[in-house]
Amino acid sequence: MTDGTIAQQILAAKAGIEEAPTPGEHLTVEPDWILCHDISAYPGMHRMEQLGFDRVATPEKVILAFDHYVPSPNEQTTGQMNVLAEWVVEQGITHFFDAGSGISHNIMAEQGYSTPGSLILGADSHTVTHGAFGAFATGIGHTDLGEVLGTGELWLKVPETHRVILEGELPHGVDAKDLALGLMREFTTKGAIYDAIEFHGPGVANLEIHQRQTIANITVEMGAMAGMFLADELTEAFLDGQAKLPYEQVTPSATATYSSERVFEVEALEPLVAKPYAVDNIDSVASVAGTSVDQVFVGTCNNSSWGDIQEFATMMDGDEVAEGTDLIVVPGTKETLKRMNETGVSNQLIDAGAMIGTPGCGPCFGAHGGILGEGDVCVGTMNRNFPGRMGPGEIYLASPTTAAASAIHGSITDPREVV
Amino acid sequence: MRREGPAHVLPDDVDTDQIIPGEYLNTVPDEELGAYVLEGYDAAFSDRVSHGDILIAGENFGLGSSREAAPIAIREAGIGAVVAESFARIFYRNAINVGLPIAEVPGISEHVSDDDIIRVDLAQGIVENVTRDESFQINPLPPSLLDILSAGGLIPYRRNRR
Repeated sequence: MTDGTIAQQILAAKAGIEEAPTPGEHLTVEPDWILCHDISAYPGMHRMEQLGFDRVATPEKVILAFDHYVPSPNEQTTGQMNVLAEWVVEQGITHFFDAGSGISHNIMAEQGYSTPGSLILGADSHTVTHGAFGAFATGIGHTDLGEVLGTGELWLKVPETHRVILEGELPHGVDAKDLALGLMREFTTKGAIYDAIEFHGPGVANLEIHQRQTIANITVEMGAMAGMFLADELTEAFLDGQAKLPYEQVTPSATATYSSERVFEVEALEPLVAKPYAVDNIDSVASVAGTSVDQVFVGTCNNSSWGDIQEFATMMDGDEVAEGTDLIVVPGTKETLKRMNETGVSNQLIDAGAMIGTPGCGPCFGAHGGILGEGDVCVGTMNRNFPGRMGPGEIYLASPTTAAASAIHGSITDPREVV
Repeated sequence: MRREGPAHVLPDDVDTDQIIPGEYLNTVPDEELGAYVLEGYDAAFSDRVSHGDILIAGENFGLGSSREAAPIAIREAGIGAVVAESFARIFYRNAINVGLPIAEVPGISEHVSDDDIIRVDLAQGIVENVTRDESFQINPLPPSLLDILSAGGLIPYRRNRR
């Protein structure tokens, strides 16, 4: 490995160069994985043809998951999925996950695709999630997808890196989503445009893998190209026996330079929300407590791992959802759904009044499965609350724990108030 | 590459859901997306846009999803160029790839009002507010990206080179 930050080292390795590249430099890199889903793969396939390529250059590296429109809400979508299902066979793409398998990012994390030091290019902005494992993972658009499908490579700009040092443990009632939102408050939506973020410090060891996913996932909302944790014993234990690629720990060199460095006191956190209509519109849950809630949505690539669902179910603790509030729970993967069934969590939540959805993105991007009406308020564990994101209503982003407390009361509730 | 037209001024943080809402993503063909441009920001926006108009935006234009429909909707609405204080990373790449002229000019919002006539010259690296007789430097685009943009996007760029 070369000198430099994690980003510099991984990009140098994937570009086949010996020297650390300078931030701002453009490199042509070969990714380890090319990720696409039902929305991006269809135009990506056409762009590849329009760019002049008949064949996918590296079908063994391509992962396609049907996760956004599942089950299909209309005949156009079904038609596109049918075309894609034939296309993967024609092109020899074997890492294909059909509708019902779950969210691409969660599947990849769960099944050992996301490994330290790997380069993942995904036609989905939340590809940054895989930074939880020390991968350099970033989002691309449809033409870029066509290009990388056709050639197996793509140009990337080498980013500057911010260094964040996490100190301490999450207090009771505060979870990794609150940490993610706390970091959002610190960085804002513009604080890391085109940059990478590295998470260091003693606080990292206290975070489970699914919690690191939540934090890495939110970094794109800060504008970041990638957000990365160094792999540690927990990462190795998670990947033991299931890593899809051999991997090597990537550690920033002593000479690595950072565009900023900040220490973040995890212990000082309280339960937080991002209020409508921006992910950095952060306030304490206490400050908006009592706001009436029409829908609680637990899911998405930000918060739908087994650990997240478990946190939610633990907080529900056999209570029922308040009258007048809908609860939608969409597990991130089929495996998580099965685990919910095996442990009795599914029945607990159904008895509480929950609707349990097909593993996938659920209503998060506003196309189906729980669209808000005018004036409706949703407490969601997702990562975006933009105007119109899920219909005309208002979205408060919150942790699974806050979501549970709010579902029980039918209004935004500080989970520390619920005994 | 020169574009000239009246300005529509937008704030900071206009996200891709506002530029083109999720419900149109796979149901509307590219060439029809212009009819829905910025619907999430202002439902009547597409009615106010004429061919050749220029968008002037604040910081972080196009944050959010990787949907390429966002720059395509702007292009298909006939907008000549987007000048912003800064662009979100994926939008920036997508705009170049689909041939939507973009220019990064820090501080531009304060110097433009709706309907001012704006001239964008990407090759010279200058944006002019013709109405106010002011001109601004564009943060330079690397030559390789300017070539792609000048060709009308990555697809025509590759076709020309074959």
